[in-house]
Amino acid sequence: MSYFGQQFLNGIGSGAIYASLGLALVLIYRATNIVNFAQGEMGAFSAFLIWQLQQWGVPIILALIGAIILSMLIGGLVYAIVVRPVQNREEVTIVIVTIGLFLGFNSASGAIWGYLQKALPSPFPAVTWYLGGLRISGDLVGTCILLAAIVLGLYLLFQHTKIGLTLRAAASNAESSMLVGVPFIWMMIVGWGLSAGVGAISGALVAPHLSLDPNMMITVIIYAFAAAVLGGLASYSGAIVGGLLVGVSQSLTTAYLPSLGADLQVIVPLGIMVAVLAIKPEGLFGRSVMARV
Amino acid sequence: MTKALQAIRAGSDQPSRSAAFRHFGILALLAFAIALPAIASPYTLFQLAGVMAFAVAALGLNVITGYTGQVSLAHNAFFAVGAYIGAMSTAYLGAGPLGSVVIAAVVSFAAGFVAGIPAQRLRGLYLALVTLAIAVSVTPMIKQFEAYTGGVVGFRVDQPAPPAWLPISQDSWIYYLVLLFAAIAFFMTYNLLSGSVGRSFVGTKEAELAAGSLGIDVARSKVMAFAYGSMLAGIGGALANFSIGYIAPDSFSLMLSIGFLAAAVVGGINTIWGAIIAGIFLQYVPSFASDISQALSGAIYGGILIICVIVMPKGILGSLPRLIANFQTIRRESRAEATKALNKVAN
Repeated sequence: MSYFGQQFLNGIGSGAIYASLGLALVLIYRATNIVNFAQGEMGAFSAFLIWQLQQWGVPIILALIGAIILSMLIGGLVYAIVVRPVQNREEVTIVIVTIGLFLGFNSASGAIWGYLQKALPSPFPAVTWYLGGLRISGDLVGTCILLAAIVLGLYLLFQHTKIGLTLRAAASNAESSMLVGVPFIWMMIVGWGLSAGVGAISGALVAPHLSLDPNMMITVIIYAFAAAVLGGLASYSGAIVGGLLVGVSQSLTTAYLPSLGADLQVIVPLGIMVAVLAIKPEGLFGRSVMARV
Repeated sequence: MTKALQAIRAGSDQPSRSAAFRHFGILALLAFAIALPAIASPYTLFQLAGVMAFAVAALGLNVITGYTGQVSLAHNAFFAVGAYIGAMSTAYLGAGPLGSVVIAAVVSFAAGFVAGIPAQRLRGLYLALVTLAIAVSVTPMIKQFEAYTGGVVGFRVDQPAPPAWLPISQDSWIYYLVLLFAAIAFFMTYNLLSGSVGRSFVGTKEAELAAGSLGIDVARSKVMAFAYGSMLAGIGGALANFSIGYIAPDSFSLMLSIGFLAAAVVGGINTIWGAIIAGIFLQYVPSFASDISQALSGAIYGGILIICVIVMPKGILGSLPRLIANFQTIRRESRAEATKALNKVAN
């Protein structure tokens, strides 16, 4: 039982990380109707920013905050320069552009910081509690609290502030929102900036677990996609639940089906994602969308 | 509605002069390709065989994404299916070059058909996500079934040797075999797409509901386009075996798919012959890019992709007609101006 409980907790820990990147994906999808395939690589770039600031002697918490702000600026710039020109084109084009961004950020990290693995300390205190035979790390608790804080913050921002309202207006109908005076392009820039900020937090959470290198997010982004799709791609709580489900199922299959081996581990979240898309494409929490003829 | 009608009608009323011109161009290219082994070095022939194998696979992506509008990130999977099935049918069943390509084509068609079934229901980015899942599973799957695929170590493939009565080198023989299959694949696809099938593909892409209400079986179009395009990827994979003679799981990663997408977009994803440019791109650009900088090769790839989509959305070949038209307008205008100036002088 305690073995199961421990594996379950481990799953929650990694699930929370997938959920954080899933949140960034959902955020950008809700704010700009784009699925950003480069989200993970942008997060890895942000994690390198934290590492760089820390190398320059900035304390870890300040480095984290500085990197989040820098990442938000970069996210906004990326939208303004690269994504805006193609925003009204068909979906294929936008997917291709974000894949181009994926390649660009991946190799920019590699070119600037190299492919040698680096260590990034966890922003949380290294304490461990024992509770009925279960080991609960400060990292796990910190990650869950941070995640809850992000969701609450996003909820308050989108539902209870003026900028949240204008963001929602811009996302739901570009033309009408512009007619009532919403600065559409600025709202899109803010949306990309916010999601890059959440992505930076996710990078900061991933890097201490894996080691910091340019390719560290490539598998994480797949799990995050599975999480976001499971939750319906447009629901924050859906992304959290999806992330936790993916994390727990991954941890339990590794623990109880060792025959799958390290290579096939990735099949589990992918299988979940494909099954959800094939059976219930609107996800667990999403609404089905009508097409306009 | 009108958009779909236009899309479905388009192609039926092309000016015959440009068609004749195009046919002449294709024949000239083919003649040049046939004569090439007389002057080219073995290494060039090896590279060109690679270009043609990639071009056939890229043509498949043009059919799936360019013509039918389905984003596929799983092209690496079908390329891998073709390569491994081709290699295994040679090693275990003793199939010759022809047999291995045919078996690879049949299996990858079937695989594409199965993968294309979710494509009926899913549009745009949801399909991209499903195909992403397929793309990422390829390398682990190959490694898992080590007993048949050779696992991480890879798989050696017997390269086709010329028959004893034919006095040409093995390089030339492989080049001609690949050329033969590539020519068949392009001819077949050209015929398929210039007929009603091609127009139903485009109609499905441009306006699905309208195409459906005009009597086009949209679901069938999507699945068939996916299966046919995957078959071309499989043929490309089997052809790549001929010249490379060795396959390993890591060469079929997601990066290969992204490379296919980038190359197809650069060549002109809505065209047939842009796939040849895509093949050249896939064969030469990665090595040029890594010559410039190992770490930056991805950035160069990504940069080319983004710039191409923004500046030249129809790719190199797709933008040519517009460039030529612009040039002709400029020439006509300057001629008109010259006449005007002459008239002025005469008056």
